[in-house]
Amino acid sequence: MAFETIYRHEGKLNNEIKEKIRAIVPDGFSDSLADRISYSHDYWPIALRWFLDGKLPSMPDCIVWPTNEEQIADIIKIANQEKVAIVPYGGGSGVMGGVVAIKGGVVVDLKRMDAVLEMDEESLMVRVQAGINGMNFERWLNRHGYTLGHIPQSLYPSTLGGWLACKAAGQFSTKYGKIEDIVLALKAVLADGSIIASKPVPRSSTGPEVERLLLGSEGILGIITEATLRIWPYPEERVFISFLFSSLAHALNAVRRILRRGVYPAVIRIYDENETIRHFYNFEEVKGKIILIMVLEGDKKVVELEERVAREECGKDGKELGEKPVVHWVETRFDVRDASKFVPKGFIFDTVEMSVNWKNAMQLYENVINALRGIEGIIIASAHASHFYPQGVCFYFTFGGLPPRDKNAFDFYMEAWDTMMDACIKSNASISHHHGIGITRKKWLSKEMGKRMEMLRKIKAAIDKNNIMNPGKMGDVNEED
Amino acid sequence: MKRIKKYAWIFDALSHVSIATKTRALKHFISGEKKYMIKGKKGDIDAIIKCSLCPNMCKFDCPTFNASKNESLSPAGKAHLAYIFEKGEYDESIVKAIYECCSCDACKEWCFFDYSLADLLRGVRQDVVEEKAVPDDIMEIASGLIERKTMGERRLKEREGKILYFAGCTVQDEAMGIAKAMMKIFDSIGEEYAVLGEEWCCGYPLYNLGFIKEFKQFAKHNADVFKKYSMIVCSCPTCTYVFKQIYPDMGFKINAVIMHSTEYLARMVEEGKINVENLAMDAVYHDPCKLARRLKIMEEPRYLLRYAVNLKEPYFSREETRCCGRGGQLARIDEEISKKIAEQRKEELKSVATDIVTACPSCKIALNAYDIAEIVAMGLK
Ligand SMILES: Cc1cc2nc3c(=O)[nH]c(=O)nc-3n(C[C@H](O)[C@H](O)[C@H](O)COP(=O)(O)OP(=O)(O)OC[C@H]3O[C@@H](n4cnc5c(N)ncnc54)[C@H](O)[C@@H]3O)c2cc1C
Repeated sequence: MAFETIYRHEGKLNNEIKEKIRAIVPDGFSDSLADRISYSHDYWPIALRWFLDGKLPSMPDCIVWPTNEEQIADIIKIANQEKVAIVPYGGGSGVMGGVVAIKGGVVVDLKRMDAVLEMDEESLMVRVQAGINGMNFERWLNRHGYTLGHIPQSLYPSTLGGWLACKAAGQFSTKYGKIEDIVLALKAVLADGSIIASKPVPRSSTGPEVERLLLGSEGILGIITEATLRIWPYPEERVFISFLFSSLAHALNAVRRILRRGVYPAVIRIYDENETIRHFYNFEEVKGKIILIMVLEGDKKVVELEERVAREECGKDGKELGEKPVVHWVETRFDVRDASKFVPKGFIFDTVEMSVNWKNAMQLYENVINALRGIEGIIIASAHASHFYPQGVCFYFTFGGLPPRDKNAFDFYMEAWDTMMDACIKSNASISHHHGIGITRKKWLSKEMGKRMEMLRKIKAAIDKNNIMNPGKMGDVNEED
Repeated sequence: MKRIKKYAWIFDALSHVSIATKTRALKHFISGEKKYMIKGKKGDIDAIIKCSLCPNMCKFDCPTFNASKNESLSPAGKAHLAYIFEKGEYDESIVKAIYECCSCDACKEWCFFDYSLADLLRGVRQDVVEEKAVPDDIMEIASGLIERKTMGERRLKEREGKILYFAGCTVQDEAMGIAKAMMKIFDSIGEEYAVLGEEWCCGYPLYNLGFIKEFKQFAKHNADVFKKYSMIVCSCPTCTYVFKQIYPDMGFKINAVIMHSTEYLARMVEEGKINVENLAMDAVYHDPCKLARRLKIMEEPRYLLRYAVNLKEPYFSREETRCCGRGGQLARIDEEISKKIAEQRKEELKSVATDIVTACPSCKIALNAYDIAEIVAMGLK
């Protein structure tokens, strides 16, 4: 069967090598066409369009489902001998093309390593394998009276390994932290086949925390197989608050003041004018306004105090709207139908998150939105802010539109990205807050990293001498980034 | 009006763009997807595309996915492959994936489109049949049923009566204990019940595997046979569902009252026609998918069990139940995965109580459980 692939490779994996790999994981090996198609993509939005047009991003040669670290190390050994690519795969919910096997090779699906290994209720931590599904893990914790506090919108399809490898951020992150705050210790098989593990202690001053290089590494250094994570008692109390503001700046300021006073609501979301009517069209009052919603949760007494502070600060410039909009958000927060509805109609879209200090926040928002609106064919240019720090905020931009007649979909898509990245760098913001680099952002990484890019390449070259781990992505020693 | 409000954000966005873009956007908005539709297919192409473009927001609850951890067996993964099939590009591995579904509707529980992947795949399977691309092992299931009119052995003897007891293929072939229990209960009530000498399968396997023409022959036959009776009591939730909903949907109306055994038994207890004593055993109830999700029968089983046992609830219960692994003929299509699903569910149930009770012959076999009828028969006073 001949499928057109966007990234072609020579397919170095002959039958002899495949047999060697199959021998390591006899019950977890496939090179069927169905599986190679299913593992040819993640949730990279442009690939949705390609799929409808009969194209696949790339085809891996085979897929393996290991059940332990030793099997992974053995597969990596063969990959090093034969110089074939290894691509770790979690839930395939990444949005940057991170799992696309640009050079073919072996996709290593971690999902059969998904056991909860131990829970220490006294120390509030749990040791778990990296292939565990987010929702199944959170449900397990809830059953035992705890929460991880890491609830990305992709909770349902993603895995712990993917969160760690992309430095993910959950929607409740302002209270519970991002995944790098939640993880205490890691276990991984590195590109040279060695297995490393760090100690699950609250902190240690024992030189550089080398294992943390794997956070955000997107499969270029090794495969994360296990982690020890902080957990929290399941919240006793949950309070919903919403306010309307006349401007985005007022809403941002209210949140900035709340954090400054040491109050960290679990969920804080501020939608710009377009997204306010998009998501809260059921509420008459919202037209032309900015909505702010919050979920405060935890110990009852603490929440009571936090609620008072939050209301006080929001009340200075905003008008209270009650808990209904928050209930609406809770009920629809996993509704992601728009891609299914609009991509077949020919629309191109993506979401782009950036991190910025308070000082530059409004400037970033305006620069990006204005730049997007300057592109012929862009229809939607909007944003919300959903992760907050005393120092700043993450903006989550959405663009959508139709490529002009003389432009193909990918060029149009990249024009939007180029424009946004440019505006971002000019506004002193970081090009990614939590989606990572993958294929889409690779070309801007050097600009973001400066000299650190060289350091990353050296580290990659030292650990991955044969450049087998997710080649063609960031830090590839054979390619200019 | 609500729809207009819902799309106000688009109109707001359009106010910023050039006339040319505005015009094209409206055109695409109205009919842009046309070019991806494939004419003349039984599969619902529009829905399959939508499902395949979703980031798989239901997959964590899909039994075939959870048992295999293979993206090809996740709901959106299967929809993806189904679209590729419908475009005419396929090999056997793609066709096989289209049959790997327990039709448990767990996906539907989480779907904002309210799609059941089983429903979507069923349309595609009709196209597989039309293409003559059905894999041999699946063809064997269908042709065996078409020839013998039952999925296994028939073990019940014919008898005449006012109401019909329809045991179903699985009970007759593999779970006769359920039929015996039902007959014991009928006798204790003094119910004049009939049993067919040659009970035809309800036809669900054919319906499910895409053999609609042949399914209709079964529907016609059964609808004719059922005319004699005022009430039909079924032990199998799937038969109940097929008689109650699929036959009428396909134009085969049944006048008789169709009841699942738990509905019938609950009524008998309520009317004081049977008395059940407590067996003093801890038992956990497993909701069969078809019973809970399609027929919404969740109270009757619990009502009965509260009399008969110390009833325990599993974490995943009622409409959030989990498949036993035998739904959608999976036990025959992929025995290994089917068994894994059963093991996972059994482990979960056993952590609540050593004895499992259910209300479906397939679940009973998969989970090594009691059927409620058996419990009621044991506790008859
Ligand atoms: C609808 C939707 C909503 C989303 N919402 C959020 C959100 O709220 N917050 C957020 O942060 N992200 C979000 N994302 C993005 C995505 O879900 C995250 O990046 C997630 O962390 C990816 O996890 P995954 O298991 O699916 O990884 P994959 O997509 O399988 O992989 C992502 C990258 O990590 C690598 N990788 C995967 N597992 C391992 C491992 N064990 N060891 C080493 N490398 C590995 C892969 O090679 C790849 O480069 C969303 C995506 C979608 C589609």
